[in-house]
Amino acid sequence: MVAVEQYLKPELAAQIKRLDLRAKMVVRGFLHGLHASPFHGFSVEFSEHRRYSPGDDPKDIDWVAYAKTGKYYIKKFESETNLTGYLALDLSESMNYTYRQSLTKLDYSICLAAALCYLMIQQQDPVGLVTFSETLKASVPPKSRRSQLPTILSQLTKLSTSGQANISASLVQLTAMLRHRGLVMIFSDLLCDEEPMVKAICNLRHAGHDVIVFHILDEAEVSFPFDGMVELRDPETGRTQSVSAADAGRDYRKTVDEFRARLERSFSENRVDYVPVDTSQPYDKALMEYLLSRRNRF
Amino acid sequence: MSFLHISLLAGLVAVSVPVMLHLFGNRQPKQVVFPALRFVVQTARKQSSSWRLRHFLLLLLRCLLIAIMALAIARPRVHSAMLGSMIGVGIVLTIAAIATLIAAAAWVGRRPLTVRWAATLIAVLLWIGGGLWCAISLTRGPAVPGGDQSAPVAAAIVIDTSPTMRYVSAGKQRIANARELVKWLLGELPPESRVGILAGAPVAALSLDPAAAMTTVDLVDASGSATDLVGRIRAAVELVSASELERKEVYVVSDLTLPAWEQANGGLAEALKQVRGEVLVQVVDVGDQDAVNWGLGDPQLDATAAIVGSDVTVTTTVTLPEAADEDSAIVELYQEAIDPTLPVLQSDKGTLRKAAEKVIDRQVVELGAQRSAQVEFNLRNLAAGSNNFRIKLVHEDPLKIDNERFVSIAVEPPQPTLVVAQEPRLGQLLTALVNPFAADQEQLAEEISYAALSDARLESYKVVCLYDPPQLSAGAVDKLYRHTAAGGGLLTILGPSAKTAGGDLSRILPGVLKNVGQRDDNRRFFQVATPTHPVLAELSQWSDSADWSRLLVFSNWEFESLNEGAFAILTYSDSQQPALTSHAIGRGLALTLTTPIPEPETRDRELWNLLWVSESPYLSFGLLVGAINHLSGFEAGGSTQVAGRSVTLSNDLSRWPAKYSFYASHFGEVRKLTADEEVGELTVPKLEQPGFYWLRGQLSGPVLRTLSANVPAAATQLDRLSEQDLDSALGEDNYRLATNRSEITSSIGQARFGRELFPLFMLVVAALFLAEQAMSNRFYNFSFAGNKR
Repeated sequence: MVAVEQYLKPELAAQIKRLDLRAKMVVRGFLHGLHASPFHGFSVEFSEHRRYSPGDDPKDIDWVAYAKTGKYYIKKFESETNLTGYLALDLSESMNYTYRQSLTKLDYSICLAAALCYLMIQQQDPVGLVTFSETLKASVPPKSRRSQLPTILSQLTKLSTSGQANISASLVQLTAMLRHRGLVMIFSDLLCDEEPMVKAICNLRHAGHDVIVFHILDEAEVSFPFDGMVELRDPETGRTQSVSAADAGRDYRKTVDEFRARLERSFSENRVDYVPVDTSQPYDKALMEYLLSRRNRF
Repeated sequence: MSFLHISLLAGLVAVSVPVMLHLFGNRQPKQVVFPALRFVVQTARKQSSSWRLRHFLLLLLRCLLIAIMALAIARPRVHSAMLGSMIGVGIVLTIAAIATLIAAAAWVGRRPLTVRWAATLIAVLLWIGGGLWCAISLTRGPAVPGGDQSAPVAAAIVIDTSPTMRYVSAGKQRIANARELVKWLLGELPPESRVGILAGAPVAALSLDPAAAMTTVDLVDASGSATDLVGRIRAAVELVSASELERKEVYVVSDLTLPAWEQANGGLAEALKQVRGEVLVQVVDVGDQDAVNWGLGDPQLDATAAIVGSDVTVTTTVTLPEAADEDSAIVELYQEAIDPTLPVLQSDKGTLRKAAEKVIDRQVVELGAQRSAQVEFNLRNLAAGSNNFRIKLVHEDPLKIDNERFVSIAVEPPQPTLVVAQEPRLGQLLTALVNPFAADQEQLAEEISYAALSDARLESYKVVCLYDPPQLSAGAVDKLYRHTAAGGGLLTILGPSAKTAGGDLSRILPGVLKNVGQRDDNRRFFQVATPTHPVLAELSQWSDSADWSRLLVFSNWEFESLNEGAFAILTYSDSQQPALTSHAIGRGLALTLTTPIPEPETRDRELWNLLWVSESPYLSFGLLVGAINHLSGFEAGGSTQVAGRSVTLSNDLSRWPAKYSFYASHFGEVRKLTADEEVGELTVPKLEQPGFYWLRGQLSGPVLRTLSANVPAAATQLDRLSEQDLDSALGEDNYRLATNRSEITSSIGQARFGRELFPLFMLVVAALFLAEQAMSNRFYNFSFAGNKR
């Protein structure tokens, strides 16, 4: 029998055809390994104290209350209802790519988005969906009803890629469109002009939104696993380039690492969360890294 | 440069394969979709340039690899003299290739223009320099000898037969080692080869096949005298050069001791240089580096002939090697009993039964720091006959040949001489010359004036010497003629008193007197016409330094012509007129000198010559003593000889038999010799080995004459030729030197077939192959994962 955690591996998750089940398995598999709720500090807020009982995490003891009363109290939290989540997916042609993985970048993004959607709906946060390539495409307005999950999931299953990415223009549009402060989760390979793209994301943050950028690259785009002479073709522009893989690989990996480092630096300066992942990584890594960093921040 | 077969070079065509593949078979790169192309494009231009360069280099490497492999398979060979040049060319071309790479990298890497052009210039210069060097070496260098190993060889083998070849090392004489080595060499020669063995006997042509030459080699032995190795090498080179066979080889087997090579001069080196490339000269060294020798020097006698009862002193030198621990040496003197009936050959054993020998003296010689000392023996009261003495150094050493010295002294009964001279002073001078022992011996010479000649009893004298005879009466001349014809000796010394119309004097002269030839421009002096004549024997010890040209003659008698049977022993340098003649009168012998010796300084006439008044009258003295000894039957200087020379003995049939049995210890047989009755001489063939030689004949009773031969001390010097000496003797690049069989094999192989470049080429092939692998893997290395895909 396959353990639930196994579905954190993209290749196994891919075997589940239904996206709702897939999202559920991913989230459950992820939650299964955690002691405490991963949601502390994330779209929840303090509601009341209760008496400490053995088995509770000592980290949750309210030491101020202890100072005042001389007794141990545990902080209790409840969901925050006014944080709206937006899943923003890049549908440019380059996202429909994998070299030797079971999931394309888009599949991986959908899976990740579905899992996050599932998580948010579970805690009754309103979640919406936005897709974009050259401009904004379809969108599902954010709602916190349980029926929102199948709506978004069905939308996600229908997604297909086309055209070149113009992230900056799309995000400018999105910024203008969002009226309430919310959490914007961007799933993209960020293969476009760097400067306007970074600027647009930072503008989104400056507009008061929490922004999480899932920078999703194919495993081949990170490791450059080719050999010999190869002619590389960009699926968006159709441009080709012949290179000796052995010679180009080293320089390429260096360039990609620098690109990621630059993005991390820029986003960090603007308090934008940046999660670089590649399609060979288990989902939990992406989720865990992100959620833990969220938690530490609050 | 030559190849196993030129057609194998056709493999070079294969170089076109990688070129064609490069031009037409260029594989299309694999097409891959890759969205992150923007990151690749940034470095693509740089990548593309270096990729093209490496691709070109790979092509170059593959072409080179195939070309060198094709050349290697064709088995290139160069003359071994050119190997150094070829390696040098290889190094220069390698540096040129590296410089080319650097230049290419400079152009690709867009280095500063000066760097690019400087690197290019250096590379081009190196290529041109290497190419020129290669071309010049190949065109001007010696051609590679024919490659057919079974082709017959014209081989002349020169064997050093010097006395030093008797040196014993590791229980074997060098000459034995040389024989073995030569036989092995002969075995290595192809069957159709023509061979000549030059080991003393003259060789007219390369007439032997290798098998027959083996028999000749067995007979080769070291001689008792220094070898003219240089002359032999020259003859050997001429012999092989004259051969029609393509491969010509001269082998010189020698212990490389100095004496045999002393005659080496630039002439031989020049001769060898002219045939270099055509004739292979291989020197084989059979000598030892640290040879030691104890030995005796040449024996020196104070008189070479003696009369009965006189004493003779013999001296020699004892020499020890520097390294010897001893400070003294024992030298013994042996005397052989005089027995005219011995030796005889014991036919059953093939050995000689000789007269008994006993030690008559033994000396302990103390040697100082010089490591040599003189030892002197007095041979007293010599008896008539052949007195044989052997001096022996009592010590065992590797070279025994110079540990013994042989001395033979012919002791004659007194032979009375009559000197006839106008001036008593001159008569006395000549008498003293003839009879040096007059003080304590019987008076053997008398002097009278011409006036007393007619009354003199000539039969009491063996020899009559006429000094400056005037016009003599017919009776006096007849008396002299009859005395001589009866077996006497007559020495006529012509001077101013003789007359042109000689009258009766002509009867005892060798021809009719013509006139007195005069010359005062320093152009007239004696010249030896018959070098082996016994009269000159007394002078033989000075033969090397006998310089007659300083002893000028101003006036001398000339003959209209010489009578039949008369011949000149000495002539004048300018006119070929006879100075000293010999002619027979009946059974006797007459010698005639045409200018007076001794010539006193007188005030009443001009000097006829400077023969007596010069600073070195020893030649004139020796000539007179030699003449009188010859006439009286003495064999002056003829008994103790240097080995390796033939000897001519006076053989007056009135005293000596015409036929002799000739014995020597090493003959193993009896040889027969016959004297030349007309000339009255006996020619003894070369005394090859040191020792005694006996001539036994029969006259009224048994007659024995003895000769002894010695190895010249100079010929047993073991000092070796240095490499520089050998280079200067033969020319630096004209010969090859080897010391053992494997070295000979290697040396000859290289010389006959040149140097194989195959290993060198294969080394380059291996290096190129590795480089090609390294570079091609960089282009086409598919990982396992990639292939699986």
